[in-house]
Amino acid sequence: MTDQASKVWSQQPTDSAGTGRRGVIAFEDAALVERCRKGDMQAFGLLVAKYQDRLLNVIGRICPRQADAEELAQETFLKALERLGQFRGHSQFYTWLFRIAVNLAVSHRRRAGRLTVHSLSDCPEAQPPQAAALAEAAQRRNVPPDQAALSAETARRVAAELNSLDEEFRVVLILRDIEDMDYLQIASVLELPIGTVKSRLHRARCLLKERLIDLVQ
Amino acid sequence: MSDRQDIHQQLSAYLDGELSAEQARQVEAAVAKDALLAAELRQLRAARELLGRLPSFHAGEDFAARVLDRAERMRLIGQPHAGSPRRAVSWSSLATTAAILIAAVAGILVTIRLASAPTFHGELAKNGKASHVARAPAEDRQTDSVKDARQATAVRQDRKLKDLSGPPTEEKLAAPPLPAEKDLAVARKRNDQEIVTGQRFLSYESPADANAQDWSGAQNVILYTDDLSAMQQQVEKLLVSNAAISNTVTQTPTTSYASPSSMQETAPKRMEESLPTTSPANQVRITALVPSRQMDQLRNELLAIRANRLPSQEGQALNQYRFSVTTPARQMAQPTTGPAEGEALGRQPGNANVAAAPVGQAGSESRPAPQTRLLVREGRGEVTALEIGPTETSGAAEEFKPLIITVNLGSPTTAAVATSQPATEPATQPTTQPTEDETASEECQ
Repeated sequence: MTDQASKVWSQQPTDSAGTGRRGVIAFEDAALVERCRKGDMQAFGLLVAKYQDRLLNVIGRICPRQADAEELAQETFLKALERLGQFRGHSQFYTWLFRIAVNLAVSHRRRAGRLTVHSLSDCPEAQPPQAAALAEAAQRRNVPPDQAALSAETARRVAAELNSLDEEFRVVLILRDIEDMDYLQIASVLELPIGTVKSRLHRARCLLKERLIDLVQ
Repeated sequence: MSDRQDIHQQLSAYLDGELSAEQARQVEAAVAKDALLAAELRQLRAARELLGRLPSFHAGEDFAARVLDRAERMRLIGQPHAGSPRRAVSWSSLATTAAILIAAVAGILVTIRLASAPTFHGELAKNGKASHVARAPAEDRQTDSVKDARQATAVRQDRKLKDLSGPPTEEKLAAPPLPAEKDLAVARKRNDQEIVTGQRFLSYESPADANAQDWSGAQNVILYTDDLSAMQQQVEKLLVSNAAISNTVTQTPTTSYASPSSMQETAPKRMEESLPTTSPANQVRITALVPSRQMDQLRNELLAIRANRLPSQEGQALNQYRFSVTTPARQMAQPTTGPAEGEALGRQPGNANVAAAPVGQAGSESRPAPQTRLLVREGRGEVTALEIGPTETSGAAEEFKPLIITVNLGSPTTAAVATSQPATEPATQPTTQPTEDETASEECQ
């Protein structure tokens, strides 16, 4: 299933600019969602394969523990499948799916915030794989090791500052600057007026900029 | 939009291409004339780019397969969009099985509760609420256990966590109230809220017999206890129950479920047809109130348990975990009054692939050796997280903290073999097992 899903997904035209890609995705989603409604689990698998990384990336930025993020991502897909009958198509499946994900992740984080977590020292999934991912990326790009280390340190710093922002600011930044959603999509995911998204995003970016002033000057 | 402050407010939207052409031109004109605005725009752009360059999280290669596995199972147990008759049977079969298993756990918890609080036990016996448990015939134990579990739950809810360090008083125990409907409603509501937030869980307080379907979809099982020994037994029971479903399908499809008569004839065969051969990737979370002075010891032991991955004789990895939390002798001295393990869980002798064996308990009502071990075969019962909550300040001498142990049950290996740990320690036993002296010293606590 995974191989097949990947194969189909690899045939999708991609557009890093975002809009074209989303248009294609929305069209494909409608067909896949319809098949899912008829009980076609293969179609559901295609949707999972299509969105798993992006979903995990957003959830992982809200709940940085890899194990939690993966569990929440799975929960998101299962909840989407469970509630597919309630999806009326008034919004894109994509934004509907991310709305579920954000709600789950935020709830999880609020709950986890009430507890002190003692990670098991030999539990590799307890930490976000930033350093490993950076090292891998650096290797792909032939970046000298010293620069890769600097990037890893910068990434840790940026991630930490992002993580320290209030939830309302953090989430809107993640959706915009990491997931690359436009304001309308963010408004749909967060169920906020677009004007609120606009002002909140600006405040969030200003806050982050102040905290990273030595990196942005 | 000529005001500088207004222009500033538009900078992010300008960066994101969310302004109209006219608005964008105004921003560009203002920035061209104002060095401070230009610097601000540059910094905002840099901040945005930093976020965009953060490394990405990537799902594992088997992520989609795991989701599909769970989705298939969810579909089989009858989520709203799955309405075929076969699914409905699977749903009810699993729901009933789950309710029975949880009831069995509740029965054990009540047993432990009664055993650990003689005054409480005596008070219940005077009211005719508990003494029948030990005498109940097998077919009645289930119902009685559930009733007593609910009653004990109500009593326990009255005993606030703050009061746990002190002995139960006559005032607290004089009139153990039956669980009111409003309490059950609260429990249901709490479950509903948790379901809404995606962290489905089963709560010990929930009415196991009120609406069995509430239990069947749970991914997380959270049990609350102020009794470590009860917590330990719950872990064991839940792990065993996880195995029981699998065993029923793969090895003993005709086994009795100790379920309602309507299920007896049809459920085993149906389950054999419809259930996957793997158990759900359930996660069990156990919350126990632990005296602060014992927290470090317990945490270290659990960490050691997790680290104990012993090679099997075949050279394959064997995760053998052992909860070496000792239980005071007085708590173990009471005969078991809950349902017999094999009876309640549908297990047949010799077919368990998880063995949870209180050492030295076999056939003995006195259970002289209080140490209890939890043995878990590969793929089951991996302790993945320990969370320690804030101190419960009770005003009493003793401080308690909630310890949450997360155990991932995972997917069982199909080659799991029945194992029952002998009382005599094999050479490969974890070195963290307390010595007899240690055990004895803890018994004296």
